[in-house]
Amino acid sequence: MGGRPLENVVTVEPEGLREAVEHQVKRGYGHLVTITGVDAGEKIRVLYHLSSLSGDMTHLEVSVPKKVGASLPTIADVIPGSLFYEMEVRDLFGVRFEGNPWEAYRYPLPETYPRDATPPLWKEAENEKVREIIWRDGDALGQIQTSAEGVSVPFGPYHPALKEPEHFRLIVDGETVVDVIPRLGYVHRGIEKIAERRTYLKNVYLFERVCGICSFIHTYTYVLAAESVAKVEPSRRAEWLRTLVAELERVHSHLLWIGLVGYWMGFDTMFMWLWGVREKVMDVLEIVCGNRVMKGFATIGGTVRDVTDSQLEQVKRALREIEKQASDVMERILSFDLFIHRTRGFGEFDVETARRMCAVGPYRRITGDPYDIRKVEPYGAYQELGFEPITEKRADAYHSVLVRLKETMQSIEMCRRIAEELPAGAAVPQRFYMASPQPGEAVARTEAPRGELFYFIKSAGKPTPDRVKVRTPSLANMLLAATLLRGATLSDVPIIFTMIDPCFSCTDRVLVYDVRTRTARMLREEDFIKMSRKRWASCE
Amino acid sequence: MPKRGATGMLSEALRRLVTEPITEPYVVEDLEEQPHLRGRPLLIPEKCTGCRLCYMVCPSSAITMVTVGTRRVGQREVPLQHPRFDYFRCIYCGMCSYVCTFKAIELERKLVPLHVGPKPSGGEGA
Repeated sequence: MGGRPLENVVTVEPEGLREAVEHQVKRGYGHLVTITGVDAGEKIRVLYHLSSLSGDMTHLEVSVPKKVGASLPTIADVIPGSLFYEMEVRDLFGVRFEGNPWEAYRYPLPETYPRDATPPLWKEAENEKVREIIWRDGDALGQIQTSAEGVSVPFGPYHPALKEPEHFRLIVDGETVVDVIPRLGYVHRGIEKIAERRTYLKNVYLFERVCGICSFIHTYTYVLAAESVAKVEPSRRAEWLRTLVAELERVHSHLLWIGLVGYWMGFDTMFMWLWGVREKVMDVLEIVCGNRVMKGFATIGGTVRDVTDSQLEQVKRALREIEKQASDVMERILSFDLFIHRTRGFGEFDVETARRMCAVGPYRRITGDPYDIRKVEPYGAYQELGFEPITEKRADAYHSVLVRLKETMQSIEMCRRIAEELPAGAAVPQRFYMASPQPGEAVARTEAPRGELFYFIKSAGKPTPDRVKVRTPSLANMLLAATLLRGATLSDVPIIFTMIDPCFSCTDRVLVYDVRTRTARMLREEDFIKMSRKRWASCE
Repeated sequence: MPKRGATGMLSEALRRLVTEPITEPYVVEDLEEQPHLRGRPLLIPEKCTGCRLCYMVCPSSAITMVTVGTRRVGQREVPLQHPRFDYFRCIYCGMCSYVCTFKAIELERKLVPLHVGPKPSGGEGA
């Protein structure tokens, strides 16, 4: 099951936290899913969600008094992948983590948010107040300070027109990247706070808007957690239909991403090919869901609409067509020498690094680690479908394309099986869920196209959830990608970042300071593509 | 493939001046039904009892209840309210139609441009 009540909670004292984490890592629970903060009135509960490689989860709970500056020891040296999660709890709940190497940087709040102001996710923090503070001091944003070394490349601007602005400060020596400091959170929209004021049913549509590409999997995971809190069981047909849409979404998301890889290498034809195939997948999604992007398909206890037999026939026909086209394109790409030269061996890492950094999804599976939530913790129809996660032997940009191509083909196959063997029954629940669940907590994990997606819901017996926590796969992978950039050249930066499949839009322009000449120059998207093409020419 | 050079460009420009536009006008009166589309909610006023269920579930608060008349509950006259849809706030999830017990909201499966479509049903236009 994807969603389940919060079980296996070990309560520890702040002093014993590090030993407890070390003990859990030794027991095999080395994958930190995320750290959740919960406002419990008098104190702040901090939950460490740890997972083993075979799918079990255990949760460590620590309580700290509810005051700004309450502190906990960091676990970043035990599990390096915990950096961002600690920063998130610090910014949103005001809990300091002693010894976190990035204590000076902010995520996700802006630099100007005073450290002694009420943290936004406390119950007494009002949305309007938080907004006011950020707006008042907003002018100071965007001021870029050079580091002590003097060679600093701010990579990725803050631009409201971009879908996902991110900022990476690259410390470079000539062309080579020496160090990377990621700065995320420019589009933090406070969705977790908004969710506390909306009913469970309305939140389904809110969480659909977390991501514009894999929108369905967010509703799906939220719904799985909500079903566990509300103790509602979906029908088998509904489970299968949701799996169908989730897999179709994986197909379109992977095709979109592989197309973008081509685009960032300067291979626009590849981009066009793949997006052409993707368009067909969107048509299938429209047949099943009624909408193409914001599908609004899953609901608590089932799906909002059913499919007819004639629609299923159309889906099957379209899937055959997609499979043919996708394998055609795949063959053409993989027989193209330049593509292989430009991707093979870029951004290499090993399985140990991936595990320590808590990487997820296809990005982790290329190291040979079969860590796939669909397999280790089956939900939906995956148990019955019975599939093997796709892994690769070598982790580099080339194999991350390869693994996603294979997953695409596997997903199409799964979709066809679902369309053929869809169980009979009703998928739409008798009544849409509009009640207040009993007090309780639940977690849900699914395998989104980009990797493990995690939701935590706490109910206090009210019509609205008390706390919803979302951990998206891109955040889990960001840290590893940033580490991999060390030693790479500037022209490889887009390719290495694209490997993790972020909603990639941050290379609008890049400002380069060179310490030797003391000059600053702007690099725009076209320059990056030009640099990449030059590298291509040298491969020939 | 268009011709290159200044003469090619000139002849192309002249040719384009006299040819008809390639794009076709979007005829709103004669739109095809899109069989799979979820579509836009439309109220059937005769069936609506004003129970406010659609108003309560609407995720984007696109529905406002407007008084359109009165109805009798037992001996008393109470105001009858109908939903009014703001199609610019609507996210087209269809929830209002799915929860309606009286099937008073139907989904119009056509791609109607919002600014030329009929005015919002129930009450005056948005």
